[in-house]
Amino acid sequence: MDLFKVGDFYMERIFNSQGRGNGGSRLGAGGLGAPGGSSVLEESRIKVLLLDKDTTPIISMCATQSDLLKHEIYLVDTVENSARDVMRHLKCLVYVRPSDATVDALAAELANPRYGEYHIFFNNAVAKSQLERLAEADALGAVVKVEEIFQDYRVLSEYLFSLALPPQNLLSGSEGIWSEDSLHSCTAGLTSLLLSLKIRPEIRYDRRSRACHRLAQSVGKAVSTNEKALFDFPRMDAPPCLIVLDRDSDPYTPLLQPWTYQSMINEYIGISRNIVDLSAVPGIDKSLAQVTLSAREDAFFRETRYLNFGELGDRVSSYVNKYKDSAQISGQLESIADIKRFIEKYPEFKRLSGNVAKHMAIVGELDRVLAAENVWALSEAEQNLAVHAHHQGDYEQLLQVLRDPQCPAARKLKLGCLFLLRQDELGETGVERPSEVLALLKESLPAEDINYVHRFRKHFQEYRSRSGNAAEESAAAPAKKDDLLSELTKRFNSKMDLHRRMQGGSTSAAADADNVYMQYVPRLSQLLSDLSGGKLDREAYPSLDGSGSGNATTAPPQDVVLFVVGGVTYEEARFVHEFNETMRTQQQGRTRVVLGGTSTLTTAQYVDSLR
Amino acid sequence: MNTSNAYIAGDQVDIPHSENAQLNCPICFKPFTTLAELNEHLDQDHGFQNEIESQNKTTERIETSQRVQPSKRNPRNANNHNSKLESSGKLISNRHWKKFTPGSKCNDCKRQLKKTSEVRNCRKCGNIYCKRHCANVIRLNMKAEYDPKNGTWYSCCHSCYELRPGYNDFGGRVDLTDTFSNTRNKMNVDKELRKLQIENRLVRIIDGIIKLYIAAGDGVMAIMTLDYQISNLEKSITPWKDDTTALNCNICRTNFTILQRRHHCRLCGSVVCDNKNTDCSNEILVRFLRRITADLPYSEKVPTSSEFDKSIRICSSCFDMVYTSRKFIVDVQSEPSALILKYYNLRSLSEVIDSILPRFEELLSNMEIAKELNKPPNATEISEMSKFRERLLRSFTSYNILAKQLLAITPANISEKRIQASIQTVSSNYIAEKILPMKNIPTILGNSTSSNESSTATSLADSEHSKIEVKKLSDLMNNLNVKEIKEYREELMVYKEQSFMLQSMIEKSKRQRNFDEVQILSQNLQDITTRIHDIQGKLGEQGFE
Repeated sequence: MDLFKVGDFYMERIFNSQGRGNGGSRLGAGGLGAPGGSSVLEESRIKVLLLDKDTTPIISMCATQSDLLKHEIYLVDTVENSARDVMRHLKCLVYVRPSDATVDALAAELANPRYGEYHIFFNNAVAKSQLERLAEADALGAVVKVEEIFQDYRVLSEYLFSLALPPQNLLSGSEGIWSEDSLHSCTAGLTSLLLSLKIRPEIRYDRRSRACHRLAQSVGKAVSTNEKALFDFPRMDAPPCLIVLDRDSDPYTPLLQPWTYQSMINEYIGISRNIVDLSAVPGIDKSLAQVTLSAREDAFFRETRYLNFGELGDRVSSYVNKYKDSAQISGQLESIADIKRFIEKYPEFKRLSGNVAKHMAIVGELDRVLAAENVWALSEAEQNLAVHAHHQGDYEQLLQVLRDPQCPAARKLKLGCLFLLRQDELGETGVERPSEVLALLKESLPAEDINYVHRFRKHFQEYRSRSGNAAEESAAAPAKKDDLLSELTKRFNSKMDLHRRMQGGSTSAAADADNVYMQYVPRLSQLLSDLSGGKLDREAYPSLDGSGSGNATTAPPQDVVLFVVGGVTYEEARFVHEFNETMRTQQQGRTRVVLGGTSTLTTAQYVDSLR
Repeated sequence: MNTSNAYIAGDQVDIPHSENAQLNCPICFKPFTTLAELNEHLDQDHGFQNEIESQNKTTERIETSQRVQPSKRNPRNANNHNSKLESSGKLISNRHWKKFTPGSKCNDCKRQLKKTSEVRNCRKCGNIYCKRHCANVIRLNMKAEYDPKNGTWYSCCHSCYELRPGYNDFGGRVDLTDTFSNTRNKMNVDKELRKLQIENRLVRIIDGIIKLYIAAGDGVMAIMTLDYQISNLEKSITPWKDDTTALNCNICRTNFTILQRRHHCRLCGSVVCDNKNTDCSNEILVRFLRRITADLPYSEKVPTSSEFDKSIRICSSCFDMVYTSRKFIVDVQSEPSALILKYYNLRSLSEVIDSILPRFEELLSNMEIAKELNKPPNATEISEMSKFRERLLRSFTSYNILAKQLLAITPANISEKRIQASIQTVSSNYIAEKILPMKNIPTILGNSTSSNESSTATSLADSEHSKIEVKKLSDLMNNLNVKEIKEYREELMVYKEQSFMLQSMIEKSKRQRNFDEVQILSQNLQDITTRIHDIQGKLGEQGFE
């Protein structure tokens, strides 16, 4: 269930693709027989990689430039580019999404091939008509291999994927109705994920969300129609499980300021395709304008990506000290042996210094933004708001932040939404506080934003009333389940945290609970612990085929794919990562979870997605 | 509540702490209302019986077993020593279980297990585990075989858990090559037939034209009639479409006017224009057609006379049909461009280096070990090594030269330029990775022969050898990229600084009349000076003074 491994496997398939020798495959050119030059072709080991606009980001997150060079891929281009040179001594690896535009471009390419032979890989299931179009165009028999691999999603980390669908156009209207296109690409993406993990899951969905139900049905249909052809996997004793969740079920997580490294970078600087753009940072060195940040390549990042800002500070400073130590050696070159040793280690040293500079720049920028926007006060206020109930002190704090000129308007807007959301949820009826907050918001926000706050509030009032109905329908679902922030979540009682604390060395987990900036625990955490205990409510998360309810002897699923319609946060990815690690080290890998979403969210993107 | 925990391997499931909470079986998750029921279920359905028996015997567990007792007061368990036999029909097979003897080790963590209470047998493979490492669950039938459909849940070890078919599987894919080539063959049957027809017509027209040309001879009248005869021949071979009904060009669909004349393609007979921009049809020389379709069965030879200038009008689609596939094959079979050819050489050279290098490194490390043990190095190894070194150096030199030549080639197009840039990265990485470490070898070799490690003096032969070495290496390094130059310059600066410091120290020592020190220092100075020369040699013109 490690998506990096899946990615590596597919990349190897593409890069090391071999034709099937001379027999059989070269029949097209009739009369003329197979070109005797296939031996020449074998010798021609320089490869071209042709991508399209969909697969370029996918491959850029799975393979580095040096990976390509290692496999003698010396030229990378896109199918759409029609100005490519004819070089018939090269072997062409095509990796594209089977969209109609791409298939057309590819057919045109095959009618007059620019390269000697073609190995075509599709990242999802290709339609019969598309294959026929290509076959017709390939009169010269230049294609020696066609293969479907399934990777119509972006791998963000071992256990996190995203479909990179913009959250704005996902649903049309507020009632959670899918737009046709996004439902299609979402289904295709999820199906390809299931195929790449070789699982044929039981599909469950959040009962309260229509969008989830619709998507679950759509995926279920795709699975059952392709059962024989594609989903023909050995039956497992504990069937794997796909759970479709709705972002609306936990609006707090994407509204709160994150405090762990990866999510902070995403929130304040932005990560796209593993690239962090620092060019807007004041006084940045030119060489650091764009840095790559990949958990696969960068060991330091791999270790620190889920640490909170405090822990991160310690790690970065020890990292810098390590660098200083090695730099010191270079400072005191006393003997020739010293010098020799230094010269030998120079490349390693340089790599280290590059990495130190990169992380220093990022952490420095984060620190600057935190101070400039006074995020500390904001975060404390919103965390208290989200966790405590009816607290006068928290309210004062909130007003203070709203009056703070340092705090950007967008964050104030978010805070206002959060406050009203919480008010409604706690069932507070007083109008005095909301109107005071709104009055304060009006001072710094334009009218349309104030409008938005009301719409946001209405959206969740509706959602709550829907879920209320659902709860009434199913008497079994206790009412307390609907309180998003039940006492349970506050208690950090999820098993993995228990385990983390038991591990001893991690005093940080205990500190987390006391950490005023990380009091709120995403709802996902509760879901995970329910899941591992086999206690996930069958009423709230019904199965698509309706089976299972009442059948109490089902074991907890061993492989789980969680998919959040509306986007997923890195903060939640952290919980899944920790859950998996705990399961792996303490529980013999009893449950493995992969998390995904239609996209990844920052607080601003989440607010925008509901506009 | 402790009793239930006694059954649970590890701490898989939280037992709810409230009184009225449901109890779930830790293995199959069946709910129970009382602990007694759960215990009985565990005994009967999951074969926990023997463990309970053993637990009963151990004194440490007396408290536990006492509390277990109530649950065992049913008739079936009254004579629980024989129960194994009695209920063998119901219980999962345990014949394959490994016997526990005190001191057995857990098959996973290799911890020594002292008490029977610590021991679990994996229900599937029967190996002995500690409780922690037998914490997974699996569905088995009564023969202890994996049965995902009808089996019951039993605990098992991690390796049995992982070995279930399909568990650690990933990377689904579908090979469509056969489907594709079948479709391609089916789809292109028509096209092939059409192509054969066109080619057949081409052969007949060209043969006919040549025959008529030869028959016509040189007379003026003959030339006049020749065109007429050819036209008749063409019409007889290819039925021409009626041009009065054709209002526009069959290919570009432009309407015919007085200026935009109608033409017939001599191969397919369709009506096309001869617009120079769209290239819908062209007069193509017979001579040229013969050359590109040399594989067709022509019976006549092309007249050698240069006056033979007959041509045929062919539309672009027929021309493509005849020409494109042939051109493709010709291109594929032709000699690759200079850049690609050079790359092949470079590539095979790097293969040679890769094949020698491991053996060489092995010899080198042998030598270092020998040196550390203060043993005299093996003479045969030394000779073998120097042989290898020579070969390696030769290969490195030619690799470097080839890479240089390759980069000097002017790329034919943008693609080639990009390929060239990629090759440059690869080759300079290769040099940095494989060749630069070789710089150390002369010194290692030098030291290996001298018995006294601290002494930098080397035997005459060796120093001579290393001199040759250095020279060759510096030859090699003459083309350095900017990065390397920078590095070398930095290195050079350090050395120069050192040499300056040494010089002043020597001066100082001289003044203090400390001649022993002076000797050592000047030896060091000499060493540094040689290295400075060395680097300067490598830098060549790129150095600075």
